[in-house]
Amino acid sequence: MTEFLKQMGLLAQAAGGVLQGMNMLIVAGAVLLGLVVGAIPGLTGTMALALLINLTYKMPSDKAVAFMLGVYVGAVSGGLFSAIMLNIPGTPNAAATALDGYPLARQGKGGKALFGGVFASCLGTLISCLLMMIATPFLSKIALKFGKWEMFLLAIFGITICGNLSVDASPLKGWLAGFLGFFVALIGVEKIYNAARFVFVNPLQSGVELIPALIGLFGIAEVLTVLQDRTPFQVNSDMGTILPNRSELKMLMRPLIRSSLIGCGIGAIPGAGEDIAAWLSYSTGKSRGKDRANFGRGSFEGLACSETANNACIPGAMIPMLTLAIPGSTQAAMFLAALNLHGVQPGPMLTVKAPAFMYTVGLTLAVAAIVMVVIALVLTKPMVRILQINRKVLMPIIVTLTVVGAYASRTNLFDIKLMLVFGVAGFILRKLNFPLAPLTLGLILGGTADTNFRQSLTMGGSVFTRVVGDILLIVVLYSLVSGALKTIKSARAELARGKSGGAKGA
Amino acid sequence: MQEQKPRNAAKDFASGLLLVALGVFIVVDALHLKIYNTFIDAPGFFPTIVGSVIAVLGGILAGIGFKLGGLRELREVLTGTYLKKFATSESTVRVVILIAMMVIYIWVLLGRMHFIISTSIYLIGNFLYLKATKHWWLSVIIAVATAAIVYYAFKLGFGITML
Repeated sequence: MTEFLKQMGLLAQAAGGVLQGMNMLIVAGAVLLGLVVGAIPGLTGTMALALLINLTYKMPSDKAVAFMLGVYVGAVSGGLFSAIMLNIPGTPNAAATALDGYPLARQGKGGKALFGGVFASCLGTLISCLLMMIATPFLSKIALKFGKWEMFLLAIFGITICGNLSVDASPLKGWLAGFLGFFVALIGVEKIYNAARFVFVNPLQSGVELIPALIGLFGIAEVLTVLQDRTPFQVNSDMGTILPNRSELKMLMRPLIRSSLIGCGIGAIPGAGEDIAAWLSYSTGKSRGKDRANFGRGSFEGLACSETANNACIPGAMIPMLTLAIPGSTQAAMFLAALNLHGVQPGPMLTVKAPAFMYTVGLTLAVAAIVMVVIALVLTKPMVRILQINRKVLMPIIVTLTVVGAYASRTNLFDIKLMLVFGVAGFILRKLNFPLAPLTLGLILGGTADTNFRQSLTMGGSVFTRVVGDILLIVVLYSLVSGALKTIKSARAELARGKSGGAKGA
Repeated sequence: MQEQKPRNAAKDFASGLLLVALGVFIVVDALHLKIYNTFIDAPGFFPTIVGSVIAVLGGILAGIGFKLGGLRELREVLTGTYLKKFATSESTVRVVILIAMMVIYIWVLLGRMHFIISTSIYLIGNFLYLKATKHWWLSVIIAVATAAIVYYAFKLGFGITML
């Protein structure tokens, strides 16, 4: 009971800060910016956060957190605009949305689909926020029992599970990307003996700065990808009305609980991300939904499956990030980098040092979700005009903004060069079908894995007698075995396809 | 579709081999790092493991690519008309030129001249190359205005010390 009252007190304390007029204004502006960036095809939520992190450098930390969370919520939902109106997902997590959203737009229900998608996103975020605020205090208590061995295993688990779940890539490539991230994180002076490792040029003494690296990987690489493609856009101008009728609203609400649970659960898995949540929720809805016969032909239920889950993923991704400092998605990784920039250190000690912070995050996300519906109600039709923006003008301007973003954190010219190197590397890795999410996780967790692994081994052989560590070890081994089996299966299938193709060719 | 598969095999084979080389380099470099007390807490211990894992996984990737005909396809790609076609394709040329312009902007222009001037030059170059606007003067106006807005917005609005 006292624990419950304590938590309620923290919730009230957080609410006092979040509901301040200035914070609400910042959240509203940030959601709008996130929606705009997310709506532009090719610009993902991660890129929105990477670009807009610039604006927070001089903000107080509470305002910066409100801003980044607003952008996060807006950008994840913004992708539905181009998915529905152009059949081009603005962000990868809106790919499943296009399956039903675009047919709805072609039926003249584009306006209803857009607002319905935003509404479903809002409900998904709200339910997932509730789950997050219930789960996080419990997980924080478990996290406090984590020692160095467990932290090392968690880092390994992060990249193995993230590699296993990567869309359109084999676990093998995901793991390789994760270990490449580990390697990059090891560059610089290490923490135990202050010894320099892989310092090829002098400015690397302090290691690879996370923000320029992430801006390069998700900013420059995306600009190059978008400009390589010359696809002209054709926006369907007949949107119809915006507000769904009662039966359509009912269909939007049907998958609410299921999709929110899927979204929150997937979000809590390190590096899994919004796109996996959306696809899993959509495929579950396709096999279990009441309107499953119309999935893919313009079903509001199908639309809600994807949109509820991808936004529910956001609070879910906060759970491991706040308790263990392991981001649940690449967007959460960007948010983690922003938090570090503002002196907030997520992890097991966060509940001790700033116990109300978790509620601040949850409530800010909830406020952002509600504000987003209001914005959508007013601005859905003007927002569609953003889709017609000339990308050949926009993308070079974005490069300029990435330059400022990489430079501003340390006002160091080397960081801009580093960003470009990571941008080109990210572009090449994408072309070679290497997923970037495990690479990001590796970058974030590499230092933790290194220090904790060496220190736990130095402490002696008691590492295998710890229950939490043993459970984690089993989970890591399971994810490795399942990933290996998946890789073997996909290689065999590809080999069989090659043979049958060869036979046909002969 | 049939054309796409071998290219992926060649990509996997080549990238796998490069990763093996990178892994070996990491291991060799890590083993040269000083051992202070024991090897398990030495600065080179974890990088040795990371390098070994990259080399092994890279080897597996190269092996899978090889089994799928990666070596044969790589030979065809490197010796045949494909390489010429790839090097002269519109999208490849565009990406190379865009990267070159970024390199010039970041390595040559930034820091040597005022942010507004360097950024204007970069943006004008991009707009003209991409044929982003109907008239060249429109490109110049957009470029200069954008550079000035970005500079003053971040300097005055957000208090960032600009280049």
